[in-house]
Amino acid sequence: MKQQEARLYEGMYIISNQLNDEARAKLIEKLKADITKTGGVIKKTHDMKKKTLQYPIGRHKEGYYFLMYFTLEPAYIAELWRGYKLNEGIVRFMTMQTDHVLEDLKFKELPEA
Amino acid sequence: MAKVSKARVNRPRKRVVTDPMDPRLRRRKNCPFVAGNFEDVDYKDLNALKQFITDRGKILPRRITGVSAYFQRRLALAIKRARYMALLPFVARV
Repeated sequence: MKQQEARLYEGMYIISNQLNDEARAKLIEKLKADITKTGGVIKKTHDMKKKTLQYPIGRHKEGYYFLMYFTLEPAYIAELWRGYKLNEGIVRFMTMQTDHVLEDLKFKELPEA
Repeated sequence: MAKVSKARVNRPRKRVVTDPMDPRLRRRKNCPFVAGNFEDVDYKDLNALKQFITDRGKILPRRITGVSAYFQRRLALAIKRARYMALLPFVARV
Protein backbone atom coordinates (compact mmCIF):
# COMPACT_ATOMS: atom_id res chain seq x y z
CA MET A 1 0.00 0.00 0.00
CA LYS A 2 1.22 3.43 -0.87
CA GLN A 3 2.04 5.59 2.09
CA GLN A 4 -0.13 8.67 2.02
CA GLU A 5 1.17 12.09 2.75
CA ALA A 6 0.48 13.56 6.16
CA ARG A 7 -2.28 16.14 6.26
CA LEU A 8 -3.04 18.98 8.61
CA TYR A 9 -5.90 18.39 11.00
CA GLU A 10 -7.65 20.35 13.66
CA GLY A 11 -9.09 18.51 16.63
CA MET A 12 -11.39 19.89 19.28
CA TYR A 13 -12.07 17.92 22.42
CA ILE A 14 -14.46 18.37 25.29
CA ILE A 15 -12.80 16.85 28.32
CA SER A 16 -14.92 15.73 31.24
CA ASN A 17 -15.02 18.16 34.14
CA GLN A 18 -15.05 15.22 36.50
CA LEU A 19 -11.34 14.78 35.94
CA ASN A 20 -9.17 16.81 38.26
CA ASP A 21 -6.43 19.05 36.92
CA GLU A 22 -3.83 16.31 37.16
CA ALA A 23 -5.91 13.71 35.36
CA ARG A 24 -6.78 16.23 32.69
CA ALA A 25 -3.14 17.12 32.10
CA LYS A 26 -2.42 13.41 31.79
CA LEU A 27 -5.22 12.96 29.28
CA ILE A 28 -3.94 15.84 27.19
CA GLU A 29 -0.47 14.29 27.22
CA LYS A 30 -2.02 11.05 26.04
CA LEU A 31 -3.89 12.82 23.24
CA LYS A 32 -0.60 14.26 22.05
CA ALA A 33 1.29 10.99 22.46
CA ASP A 34 -1.29 9.11 20.39
CA ILE A 35 -0.51 11.39 17.49
CA THR A 36 3.25 11.59 17.82
CA LYS A 37 3.72 7.84 18.16
CA THR A 38 2.35 7.24 14.65
CA GLY A 39 4.58 9.89 13.15
CA GLY A 40 2.29 12.88 13.56
CA VAL A 41 3.46 16.32 14.56
CA ILE A 42 1.66 18.64 16.99
CA LYS A 43 1.63 22.11 15.48
CA LYS A 44 -0.27 24.11 18.05
CA THR A 45 -2.47 23.58 21.07
CA HIS A 46 -5.03 25.87 22.61
CA ASP A 47 -6.44 25.38 26.06
CA MET A 48 -9.89 26.89 25.77
CA LYS A 49 -10.68 26.57 29.48
CA LYS A 50 -13.86 25.42 31.12
CA LYS A 51 -17.10 26.32 29.38
CA THR A 52 -20.71 25.60 30.12
CA LEU A 53 -22.13 23.26 27.52
CA GLN A 54 -25.05 24.77 25.64
CA TYR A 55 -26.95 21.53 26.19
CA PRO A 56 -26.19 18.64 28.53
CA ILE A 57 -24.25 15.73 27.03
CA GLY A 58 -25.07 12.71 29.13
CA ARG A 59 -24.46 13.78 32.69
CA HIS A 60 -22.09 16.58 31.72
CA LYS A 61 -23.18 20.18 32.03
CA GLU A 62 -19.77 21.74 31.54
CA GLY A 63 -16.48 20.68 30.08
CA TYR A 64 -12.92 21.71 29.37
CA TYR A 65 -12.35 22.58 25.76
CA PHE A 66 -9.05 21.68 24.19
CA LEU A 67 -8.00 22.47 20.65
CA MET A 68 -5.06 20.99 18.81
CA TYR A 69 -3.57 21.31 15.35
CA PHE A 70 -1.54 18.40 14.09
CA THR A 71 -0.36 16.63 10.99
CA LEU A 72 -0.95 12.94 10.52
CA GLU A 73 -1.22 10.39 7.79
CA PRO A 74 -4.91 9.94 6.96
CA ALA A 75 -4.77 6.18 7.51
CA TYR A 76 -4.26 6.68 11.25
CA ILE A 77 -7.32 8.85 11.79
CA ALA A 78 -9.78 5.96 12.13
CA GLU A 79 -7.52 4.39 14.73
CA LEU A 80 -7.34 7.69 16.57
CA TRP A 81 -11.13 7.98 16.66
CA ARG A 82 -11.51 4.48 18.02
CA GLY A 83 -9.27 5.41 20.91
CA TYR A 84 -11.22 8.62 21.53
CA LYS A 85 -14.54 6.79 21.65
CA LEU A 86 -13.21 4.36 24.23
CA ASN A 87 -11.77 7.12 26.36
CA GLU A 88 -14.22 8.08 29.07
CA GLY A 89 -12.47 11.37 29.76
CA ILE A 90 -13.44 12.68 26.32
CA VAL A 91 -17.03 13.84 26.28
CA ARG A 92 -17.02 14.82 22.64
CA PHE A 93 -14.45 15.34 19.92
CA MET A 94 -14.25 16.55 16.38
CA THR A 95 -11.27 16.28 14.08
CA MET A 96 -11.32 17.80 10.68
CA GLN A 97 -8.94 18.59 7.91
CA THR A 98 -7.91 22.20 7.72
CA ASP A 99 -5.55 24.31 5.68
CA HIS A 100 -4.10 26.69 8.21
CA VAL A 101 -3.16 26.84 11.87
CA LEU A 102 -4.75 29.54 14.00
CA GLU A 103 -1.96 31.00 16.09
CA ASP A 104 -4.38 32.57 18.53
CA LEU A 105 -8.10 32.27 18.86
CA LYS A 106 -8.94 35.73 17.65
CA PHE A 107 -11.25 36.42 14.79
CA LYS A 108 -11.88 39.28 12.45
CA GLU A 109 -14.60 41.65 13.49
CA LEU A 110 -17.71 41.60 11.38
CA PRO A 111 -18.40 45.00 9.87
CA GLU A 112 -21.64 46.60 11.01
CA ALA A 113 -24.35 45.44 8.67
CA MET B 1 -44.58 61.07 -4.16
CA ALA B 2 -45.94 58.11 -6.08
CA LYS B 3 -46.92 60.42 -8.87
CA VAL B 4 -43.39 61.71 -9.29
CA SER B 5 -41.78 58.29 -9.46
CA LYS B 6 -44.37 57.12 -11.98
CA ALA B 7 -43.59 60.07 -14.21
CA ARG B 8 -39.95 59.13 -14.02
CA VAL B 9 -40.56 55.53 -14.96
CA ASN B 10 -41.78 56.76 -18.30
CA ARG B 11 -38.38 58.26 -19.01
CA PRO B 12 -36.02 55.35 -18.47
CA ARG B 13 -32.78 57.29 -18.99
CA LYS B 14 -33.20 59.68 -16.13
CA ARG B 15 -35.08 57.55 -13.65
CA VAL B 16 -34.02 57.74 -10.02
CA VAL B 17 -35.52 55.37 -7.50
CA THR B 18 -36.24 57.13 -4.26
CA ASP B 19 -39.09 55.05 -2.86
CA PRO B 20 -37.64 52.99 0.04
CA MET B 21 -40.19 50.23 -0.57
CA ASP B 22 -39.10 49.82 -4.16
CA PRO B 23 -37.72 46.26 -4.48
CA ARG B 24 -34.74 47.56 -6.44
CA LEU B 25 -33.64 49.48 -3.38
CA ARG B 26 -34.86 47.08 -0.74
CA ARG B 27 -32.87 44.19 -2.16
CA ARG B 28 -29.62 46.07 -1.64
CA LYS B 29 -28.11 44.51 1.42
CA ASN B 30 -24.51 43.76 1.75
CA CYS B 31 -23.09 40.59 3.06
CA PRO B 32 -21.00 41.30 6.16
CA PHE B 33 -18.63 38.45 5.28
CA VAL B 34 -18.00 39.83 1.81
CA ALA B 35 -17.60 43.34 3.21
CA GLY B 36 -15.14 42.11 5.84
CA ASN B 37 -13.12 40.17 3.26
CA PHE B 38 -13.62 36.87 5.05
CA GLU B 39 -12.16 33.69 3.61
CA ASP B 40 -14.32 31.31 5.57
CA VAL B 41 -16.61 31.18 8.57
CA ASP B 42 -15.00 29.50 11.56
CA TYR B 43 -17.15 27.41 13.87
CA LYS B 44 -15.10 28.69 16.82
CA ASP B 45 -15.94 32.32 16.07
CA LEU B 46 -18.94 32.42 18.38
CA ASN B 47 -19.34 36.18 18.46
CA ALA B 48 -19.91 36.19 14.72
CA LEU B 49 -22.09 33.07 14.66
CA LYS B 50 -24.37 34.38 17.40
CA GLN B 51 -25.40 37.28 15.21
CA PHE B 52 -26.97 34.88 12.74
CA ILE B 53 -29.13 32.79 15.01
CA THR B 54 -32.44 33.58 16.69
CA ASP B 55 -33.11 33.56 20.43
CA ARG B 56 -34.26 29.99 19.99
CA GLY B 57 -30.99 29.07 18.33
CA LYS B 58 -32.32 28.74 14.82
CA ILE B 59 -30.27 29.84 11.82
CA LEU B 60 -31.57 33.13 10.43
CA PRO B 61 -32.49 33.16 6.75
CA ARG B 62 -30.26 35.27 4.56
CA ARG B 63 -33.37 37.10 3.40
CA ILE B 64 -33.14 38.83 6.77
CA THR B 65 -29.41 39.02 7.34
CA GLY B 66 -28.31 39.81 3.81
CA VAL B 67 -25.53 37.20 3.83
CA SER B 68 -24.47 36.08 0.35
CA ALA B 69 -25.40 32.58 -0.78
CA TYR B 70 -21.78 31.48 -0.68
CA PHE B 71 -21.27 32.56 2.91
CA GLN B 72 -24.70 31.41 4.03
CA ARG B 73 -23.71 27.86 3.11
CA ARG B 74 -20.47 28.17 5.03
CA LEU B 75 -22.17 29.92 7.92
CA ALA B 76 -24.77 27.15 8.22
CA LEU B 77 -22.02 24.54 8.29
CA ALA B 78 -20.10 26.48 10.94
CA ILE B 79 -23.21 26.85 13.11
CA LYS B 80 -23.88 23.12 12.84
CA ARG B 81 -20.32 22.31 13.82
CA ALA B 82 -20.54 24.67 16.78
CA ARG B 83 -23.79 22.98 17.81
CA TYR B 84 -22.21 19.56 17.71
CA MET B 85 -19.44 20.77 20.00
CA ALA B 86 -22.05 22.22 22.38
CA LEU B 87 -20.79 25.76 21.71
CA LEU B 88 -24.22 26.72 20.42
CA PRO B 89 -27.59 25.22 21.37
CA PHE B 90 -29.67 23.08 19.03
CA VAL B 91 -32.77 24.46 20.71
CA ALA B 92 -32.67 27.24 23.25
CA ARG B 93 -35.43 27.74 25.75
CA VAL B 94 -37.00 31.16 25.57
